[in-house]
Amino acid sequence: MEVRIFVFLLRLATALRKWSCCAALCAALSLTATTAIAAEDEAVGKKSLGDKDSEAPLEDEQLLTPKVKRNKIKVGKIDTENFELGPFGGLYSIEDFGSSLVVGARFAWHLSESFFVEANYGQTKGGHTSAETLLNREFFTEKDRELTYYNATFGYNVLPGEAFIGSNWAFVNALYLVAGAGNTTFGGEDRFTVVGGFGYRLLVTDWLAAHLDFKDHVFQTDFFGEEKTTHNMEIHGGFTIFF
Amino acid sequence: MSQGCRWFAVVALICLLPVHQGHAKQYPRVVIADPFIELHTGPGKGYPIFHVVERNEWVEVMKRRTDWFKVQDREGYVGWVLIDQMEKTLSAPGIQTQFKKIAKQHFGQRSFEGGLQFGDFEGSALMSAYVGYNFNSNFSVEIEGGQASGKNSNTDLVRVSVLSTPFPNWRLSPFFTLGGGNLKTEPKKSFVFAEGTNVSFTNVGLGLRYYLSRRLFLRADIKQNVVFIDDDNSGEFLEWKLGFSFFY
Repeated sequence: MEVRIFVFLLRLATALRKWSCCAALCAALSLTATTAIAAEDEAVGKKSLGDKDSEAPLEDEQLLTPKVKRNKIKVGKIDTENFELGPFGGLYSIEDFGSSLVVGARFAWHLSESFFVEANYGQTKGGHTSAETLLNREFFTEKDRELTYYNATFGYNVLPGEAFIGSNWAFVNALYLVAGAGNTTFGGEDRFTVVGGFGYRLLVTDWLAAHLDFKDHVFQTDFFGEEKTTHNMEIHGGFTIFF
Repeated sequence: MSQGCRWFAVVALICLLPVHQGHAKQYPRVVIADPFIELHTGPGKGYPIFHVVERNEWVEVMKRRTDWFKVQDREGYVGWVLIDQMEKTLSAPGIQTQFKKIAKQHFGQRSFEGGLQFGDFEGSALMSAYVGYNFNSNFSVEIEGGQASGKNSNTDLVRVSVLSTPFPNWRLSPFFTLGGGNLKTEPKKSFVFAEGTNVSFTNVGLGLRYYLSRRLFLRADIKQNVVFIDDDNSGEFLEWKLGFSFFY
């Protein structure tokens, strides 16, 4: 029973809506027609009176202005991948202190197909100096031997290209130059550091890259009484993820 | 933070990154309106063109890297297309596709900026980083942290400044600054008897911003600092620096 009442009410509602639509349409049409006739009468009247404005062509006076509403279409979200982040590991040679393992992380922002900016953080530990080995004495504490660095560099993809493995595989790669500055904490003190070098990037897939970098960290030390500029070479490999 | 903790944090961060999922993804499609578009093998002008897609064909846009789009056509060819060509495609009948392109006009309307600068602080090598907020295109405030490594001492610097930019829409745009902050100086280890200082200072300065491309610009600053050592003494330091900054 309830179902029947519901169906009846639904039909009634549909009929009412139809009629109301028809009524609205009729009203709109009649209104438009009246306006059109009135407008035409006015135009004819003006013409007959010899008004100067009547020289304007009648086509310009549109009777009905179409109001076409375009659907707003948005292009779906496109995944942009301009950033790189990943760890690295390698060798860092501290002048007078030997070479040791270095580990760190890299963050890069690609500004264009050629330029990028990069931030690096790394840490390593110096070994014994030759003076210490010769004299069999330790001049530095373990804490003094710890080296941490951070720097920001500007990079340029100098040789972009493709690397081929066999006849079926091609990988996008690039040789790049980097230069910048940063800070190195070594011997318990902060040292302003200029960094320069070059690197090689091979994109294993679109989002995963393998890197090999050579860098020279130039900073001043004064461990043995005189201030001197040291060149500290670093070679490291790593991978990054594009996001 | 211990070394182990640091590395755990880095690895955790990497694991959190969105890595591509295996299932097929629905990419947005655009219709070619130019006679043809060129597909390069890599995201750069030097990579060779290996395929063209003709007018009225559609391509799926898979991803964007700088100004290059990775697309796939109906036949399954995947390549990279430059933004200039992609902008001439249609995303719906009669509607040109629009891509976000940061250009010079956005530079004058920036809200936030930040950057890294290197220079000289009265003979010491200076490195500093800053972030700033623009209240309007002419007036902004910023906070800066810096580190100066000198022969005899290391200095940490914190500064708050207000900036006035009279011509924000010029590519090379000058500005004036007024600020103040704190300087903490620690003598180097070899100077055993020297004592550290902690003083406040104020400064006036001027500088230049030069818009490069996208969200990047160069910035140069020169500042005259007046340091209040005690009630009767004050010192003056000249500082200059140059660096690159980005804006949002």
